[in-house]
Amino acid sequence: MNKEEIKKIASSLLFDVTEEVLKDFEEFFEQHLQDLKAFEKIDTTGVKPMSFIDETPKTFMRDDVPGKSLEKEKLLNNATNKNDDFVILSKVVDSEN
Amino acid sequence: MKIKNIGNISDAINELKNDKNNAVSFIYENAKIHDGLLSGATFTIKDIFATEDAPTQASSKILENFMPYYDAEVVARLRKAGATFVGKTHLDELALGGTGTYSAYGIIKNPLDKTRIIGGSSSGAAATFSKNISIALGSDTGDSVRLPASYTGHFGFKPSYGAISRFGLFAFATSLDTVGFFAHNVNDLIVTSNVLFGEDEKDFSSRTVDLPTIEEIKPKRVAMLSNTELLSKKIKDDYAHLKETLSKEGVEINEYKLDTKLLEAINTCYMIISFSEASSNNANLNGIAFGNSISGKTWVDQMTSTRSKGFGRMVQRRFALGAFYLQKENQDIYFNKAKQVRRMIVDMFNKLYSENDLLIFPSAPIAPLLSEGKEDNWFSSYLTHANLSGNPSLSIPWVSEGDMPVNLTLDAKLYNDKSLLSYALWFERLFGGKNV
Repeated sequence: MNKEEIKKIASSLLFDVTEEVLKDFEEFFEQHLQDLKAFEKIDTTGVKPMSFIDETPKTFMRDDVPGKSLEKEKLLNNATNKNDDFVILSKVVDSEN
Repeated sequence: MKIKNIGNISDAINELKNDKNNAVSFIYENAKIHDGLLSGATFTIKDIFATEDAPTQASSKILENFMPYYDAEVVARLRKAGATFVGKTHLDELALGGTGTYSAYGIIKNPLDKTRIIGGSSSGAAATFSKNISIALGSDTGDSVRLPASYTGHFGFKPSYGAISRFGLFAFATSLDTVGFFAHNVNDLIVTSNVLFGEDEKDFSSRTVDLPTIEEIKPKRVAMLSNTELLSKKIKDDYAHLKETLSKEGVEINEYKLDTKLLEAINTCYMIISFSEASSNNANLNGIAFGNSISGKTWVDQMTSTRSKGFGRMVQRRFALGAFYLQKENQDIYFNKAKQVRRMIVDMFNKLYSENDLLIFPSAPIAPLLSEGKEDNWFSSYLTHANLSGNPSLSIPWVSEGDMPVNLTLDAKLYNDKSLLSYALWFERLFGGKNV
């Protein structure tokens, strides 16, 4: 990955990276690429991907009983912008759209 | 059944107050004794677990002063069993990182030698773990309890994946995250496991695992590895000596030469899976509903400013790598391949577990110097195989090299936590039981 690609990925994750981070990342990735190349050579033909440690399906079906949840005041207390009832966020949909 | 190393509340609090190692995030100044199985026992909580009565910041600026207002399931179970919380401990930011050098609140060094790393991410838990503290609660996604346990010469236990609920443990990598803890002896690991083990309808990955009992059992068959090329001469000799000792004790030893390519793939496989999961799991840290926030003209500006300032460089690097592995063109060559290699690694170790009661191998080299960092080889990240497999894994004090400790790791089949801890009682006595 070069600096532009790193910036693009960071932007997709909604953060900007400093020059220091970019330099650090580039150096790290050069070394990491060697490990990835070795990794790619492992023959995995016919191997089923493992997504879960315990592959036995399990669900916790329960009755839909109303329970106690966190109090509104406490929840709102963690937000920087709020009023008495809601968290306030800048408009998501542009007026032109 | 009761805790042997009960600790001391006031001495523990004084130690935490006097910490000069950036290891303490919160102190329960008014800690009291409560009734229950854990009555009087002192606990620290890694600051990655939600607590109703204290901030949970995960050592990240983005969560500065965040109050969850609820208890993680493990915290609730400990409270109910009468545990006394004395403090919360710092970690490598968001439990990513494995050195103790990545907390937003400063480097945590190894108290045995300040020029060496302590390991992580449960760094503060290990750094503050004195005899005044019974149990230090941590989490183990790659080796985050067992590695610092070896670097500091304590018992560090990662139970089977699913044995303990993760509700309220801030997620790093969902398919690997496990609650773990430090203790001064095997007995205390068993007692604590009895409080924490059990299904929880708030965590769909939790399972019923047999509760350990305080019953010492000598293993019949033990697997050892002949892959000792990366061990120092001292540790190699100690491992050979252990083999002789076990044979004299009548334990059958089966030696295996594991595929070096797969051992070398453990860390890369772990990085691909864990960073990918982390970059997705932490998308909720955006400064809107909770956490530190920097205002902006638009919601994108706000989130971008918040995440740019809130995450440290290690976290940014790992998230970016995770997103890289998940890009459409990379999914097959990295992410899906990692899931295939994961199965190959798991199958390789499961063969040993099916033929033996235990697998034993040195946990890691001695703690590296801060100036040098961890060596880039499979021995330095050996412990991570147990996170890919989910099997129970216990690092116990064993030998030393120079002035630094090296632990032995006992691994057993998934969900065989009960027998693993019974064998551990036997090993603890074999090694002199000095910590009992």
